[in-house]
Amino acid sequence: MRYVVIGYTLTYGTLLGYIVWLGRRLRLARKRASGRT
Amino acid sequence: MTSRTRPAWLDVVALVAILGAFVFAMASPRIASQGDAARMLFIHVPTIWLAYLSFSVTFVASVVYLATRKLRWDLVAGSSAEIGVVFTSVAVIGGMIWGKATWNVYWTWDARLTLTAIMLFVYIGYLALRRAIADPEARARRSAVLGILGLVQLIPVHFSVTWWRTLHQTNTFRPRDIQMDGPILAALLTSVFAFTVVYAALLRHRYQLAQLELEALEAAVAVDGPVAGDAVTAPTFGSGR
Repeated sequence: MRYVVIGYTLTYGTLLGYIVWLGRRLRLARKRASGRT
Repeated sequence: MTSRTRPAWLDVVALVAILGAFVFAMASPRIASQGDAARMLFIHVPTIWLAYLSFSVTFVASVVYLATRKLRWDLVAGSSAEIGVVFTSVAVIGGMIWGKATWNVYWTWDARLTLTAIMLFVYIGYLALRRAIADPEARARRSAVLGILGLVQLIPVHFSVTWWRTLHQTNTFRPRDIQMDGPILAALLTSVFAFTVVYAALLRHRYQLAQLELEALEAAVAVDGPVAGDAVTAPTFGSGR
């Protein structure tokens, strides 16, 4: 069960981490775009 | 909230689907031969499926870009490749953890494992290539070539378990020869569906980001400011007095 916990934490954790990273980049890009207009 | 920041229905469906897949995976019966370790199936198979899907989308978008020369297809190709790299990394590392639980080793130079790792490094190279070229047209053209060539690897990766005698089991899902019990198959298909919806939602957002990055680049180029080398004037020849 230990490996299952590690595997699921890694998978869902990576997915969550990528979503947060993508969200931050998207927010920053939108802020820059609104600053240009 | 603007229409761009409002959570779309696809994001909501993705969230519900991924939570549902987790519940299904945890509720599925144990497999006698592997015990709880078999639950890794419900994340390992969908993540490698997403690797196949992402790189196939990169391939198709690259072909369409070369045919039409419309930059939006290059943005789709690059966006999909980035998501593919994330999920391939998860598939490789998750596979190593499953390997430790069942084979008692994290890594072995098995054909499937090695070819998947090579595929991962090729697509990391693809992303590096995209970052190395500033001109959008040149970047699109060169990365489209790699995006097309890169997919060739998918064939040996997928068939490695049948072409060679490997430690890795044969393909889990064979439509003509399903050897799974109903609840396990249902949990697996739910997981594959959920991860696919998550991929679609991520691709939508990553594509929006790529569009904004391209707009920022075009705006920077359009600004009529001093450019390096402007101060250098060509020498004049003639009387010279």
